Amino acid sequence: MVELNPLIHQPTRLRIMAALVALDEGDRVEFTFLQNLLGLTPGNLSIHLQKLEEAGYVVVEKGFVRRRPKTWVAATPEGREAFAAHVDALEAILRQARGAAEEEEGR
Amino acid sequence: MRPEHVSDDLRIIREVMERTRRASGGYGGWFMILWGIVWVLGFTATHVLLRLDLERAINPTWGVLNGVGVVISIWLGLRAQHRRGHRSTLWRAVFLWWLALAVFDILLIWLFGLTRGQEIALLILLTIALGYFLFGLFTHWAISAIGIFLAVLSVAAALLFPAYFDLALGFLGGGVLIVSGVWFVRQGR
Repeated sequence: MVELNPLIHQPTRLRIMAALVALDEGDRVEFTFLQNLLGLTPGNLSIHLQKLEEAGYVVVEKGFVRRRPKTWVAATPEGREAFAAHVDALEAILRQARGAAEEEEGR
Repeated sequence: MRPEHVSDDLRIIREVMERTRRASGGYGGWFMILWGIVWVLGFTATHVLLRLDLERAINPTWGVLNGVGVVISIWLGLRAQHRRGHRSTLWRAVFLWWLALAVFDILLIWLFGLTRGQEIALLILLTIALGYFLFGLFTHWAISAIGIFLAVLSVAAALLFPAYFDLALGFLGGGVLIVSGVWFVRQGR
């Protein structure tokens, strides 16, 4: 029985993780970049990032650039692993469904 | 979970990942436009200076153009980081990659004792083409295609039109870099 990751399975968090995992390992993006890319409000993005951060899937860093506050986000190695496992689980479900459909047709 | 929902999730993942890569990598096109302009100016200047018997001015001209290119490249890199809010380890890899190729060229020129301007130019161009080809294998197929085009163009220009070698490379090679750069910038939007 394949198990989906309930935290990553939520649609907004799935998109956040997909965006962060698409970057090279060690890379990070600015909060506003992620917000614009995914078309989310700052509040919505913050809530989901907090949940992912609590799970250890992302790391959120705050700092200043030219005296302006900035927030950067990156996927952690654990987050990348969890996301890859979630994608594997999705693909396994699809394979199982296709196998079952072919078996049904064969009868 | 229904299979159609699973397919939807996988499609969304693919789309978001593709969009992220485009958005964070599109600024690479500005570098190609910049170096395309350097090629057009450098090779046109080389052609003109050779016709005017001012061969001594060719190296300083390239030195100035390359220097300006490097300075603008650094500025573009910093600007991209601020605008996109994206810090990438790719920059270091790209810098080290081209530095290694430059050292490789210097070693070959020294080992084979090359002195003719066109031989040196051809060697450097083929190394740049190889650089694009190999770099494209890790990034985007179009960059590899540019590498192949530049290699074929360089050899063809050297063999078939030696008198117009510099002009051909300037306008065709530089043109390809500029057009490809514009394409990459548009992809990143």
